[in-house]
This record gives sequence, structure tokens and C-alpha cells, in this order.
Amino acid sequence: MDQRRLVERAREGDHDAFAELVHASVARLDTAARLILRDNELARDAVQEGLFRAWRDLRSLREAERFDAWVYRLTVNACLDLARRRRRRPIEVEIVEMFGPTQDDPADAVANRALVDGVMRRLDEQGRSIIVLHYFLGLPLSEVATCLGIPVGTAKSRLNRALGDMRAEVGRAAPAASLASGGTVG
Amino acid sequence: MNDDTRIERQLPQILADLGAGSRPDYTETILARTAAARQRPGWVFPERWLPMSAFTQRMAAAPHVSWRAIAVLALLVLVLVSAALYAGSQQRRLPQPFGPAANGVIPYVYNGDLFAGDPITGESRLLVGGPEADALPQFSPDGTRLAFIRDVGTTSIKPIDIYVARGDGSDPTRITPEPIWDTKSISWTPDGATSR
Repeated sequence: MDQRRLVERAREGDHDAFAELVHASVARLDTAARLILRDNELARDAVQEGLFRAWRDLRSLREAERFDAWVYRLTVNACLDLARRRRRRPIEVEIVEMFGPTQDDPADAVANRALVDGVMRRLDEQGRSIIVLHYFLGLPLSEVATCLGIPVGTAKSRLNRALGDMRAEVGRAAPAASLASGGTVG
Repeated sequence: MNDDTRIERQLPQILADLGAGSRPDYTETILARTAAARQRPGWVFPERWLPMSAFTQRMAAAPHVSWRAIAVLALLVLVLVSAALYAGSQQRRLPQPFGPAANGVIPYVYNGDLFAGDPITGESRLLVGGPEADALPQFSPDGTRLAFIRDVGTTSIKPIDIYVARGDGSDPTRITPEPIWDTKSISWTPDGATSR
């Protein structure tokens, strides 16, 4: 059954249809949440909260084909809510190393991941959300801006700044790395 | 591949690698929670009745408003309002009964003397009396002074002098250096500074 039909059935209260939608999207949402929050436990909470809101408020979704973007939005907003609460009440969390080299990793791929990881670490949650929504979840910048409730120009400038940081990292740490400099978001 | 776009092309894969992990083990927890929860009915959502995407997209596209600019603007408005209030408070207070809300008296001529009649009570009081023939009484716009003409000479065709007195008719002062002819009316300038 295609996703549109599943969404329509779930909207009518069919929980089995909703379960199929959850199985199809949970891994991607979990990865996005971990990239944004850099904390596995918080990411789990954010995804649970996002999908719970999706089920509860599914009847507010007018266009079934926009289900993916809508769930991304709910989950990212849950991430940002949790991040705000975390800032207000500092708690001790285990700092997760987001990646580790594997046996078959080419050296330059490891270097590239390290550079991007370093830049992501320095961004705040909203900055990371812009990167993740645009480059990992594939939303256009206008939708990223709508999702985060910020002007498109702000989203664009923050994205360009992050890309600039990545290029600077490349220039400093690995002049010969395959991750080359240049490029702005137009 | 163009160097300028290489970083953008590689980012989706790099992010996927960075976030790679085991499949989430809490899917069933989510489904148990949602199975126990009721969906909210569609009519409670404004999105079902209004095209909310149009609003949110317009909001996202709106230019960024600087709070500093708003604060400066608010301060400017505050200063202007304060200046207007201060200027208003410095205006000269008018004596009774000529305040802006007071009923005005009407000057008139009777037998060569000037009177002020109160249209509410019907009472009159003498402003300028005496043997001279006075006429054309005109209060200044603020009601504090009275201009009038006084006949000069005894011939049938008389020149006149213009006088200005206080609002109560006291202290009349001639303002024409010499008698003038053919004056059928006098009036105050709008600012009340002079009669003409």
C-alpha cells in the first residue's frame, strides 16, 4: 500500500496503518534527532514525542502527501523543545562520539567526517537542525525556514556560515583532503 | 565534479555516516503509547479550516525585524509624545470666563456705550461707557482684549480712532496715531496680536 493511502487510513483512526508509517520512518527520524541533539537518550525522547504528536494530531494534516515533511517538522520541533529544556536545567549526559573509523573506511572519508562532525559540534541545535533538515532529510530551504519558524534569509545565511566553517576546517586541517572549498547556497 | 559544490554533494552521505547506528529499539514503545491515545478530532485544528501554509510561508518569508530598531523607534515616539505634552502644558491659561470650554459673551453697542451680554443668563454688563460714541466692539480670539472704534469730532461725517482695552473694558488705549476715515469694520488677526 502506498504512503498516501496509509496516511489517509491512519487519519481515519487505523492504528495499523500508522504503525506501518512509523516503521518506515523511525530510523531516519532517529538519525536526524541524534545528529541535532548529539545525545542518544534525548534523541529517543524527541522521536517518541514527535511520533506521538503525529498520531494525536494526524487529522490536522490536510495533504497526505506531505506526511514526511510534517513528521520531520514535529520531530525537529520536539528536538528543539528538549534542547531548550536541557539548557534551562543543566543535566549530565554522556558525550557520544558520533562516528568511528571502520575497517573499510578510506582515510579521506574519515577525515571528511571528522571535519563535518567538528563543525556540527560547534553549531547550536537550531544550526544543526538547518543542516540536517536540508542535507539529510532533503527539505528545500523555504520549507526548512517554515519548519523552524524563521525567515528564509536567516536559514540561508546560517547554512552558508556553516558551509564556510567546513571549508575553513578543510583549509586548516587537511589541505589535500577531498572535501574541497567553495560553494554557497543561492 | 565542481569544487564549489563538492562539499554540498558529499554532505548527505557524510551526515548519514555520522548518524549511522543500530535500528531504534523503541518503536514498539511508541506504538504502545499511540495505541492507547485517542486522536484529536479534525474540527479542533485551524489547519482544517484555514490554509495555514499560506500564513506560515508568508511569516517565514517576512523580513527580519531588528528589536534594536523597534526599541529606538519606541524611544523616539516616547520623546515626541513627551515633547507634545510639555508644549501643551506650557500654553497660557485663559482667565474666566474665556476658557476654551466657557460660554462666550456677546459684545454689543447701546447708545454709544459697549456692553457684554451673556446669552445663557440674559444679563449684560457695561464694558466701556462715557460720553464718547463707541462702536464695533470685537473681542480678540482669546477673549482677553477688546477692540472698538470711537468717533472723533462733531461733524456729521466723523473720522474714528481705534482703541484696544482689556477684556473687561478697562484701560482703553488708542492704537491709531491719528484719526482715520472710511472705516466700516475692524477685526483681529488670527493670532490675536493686532487689530486691522
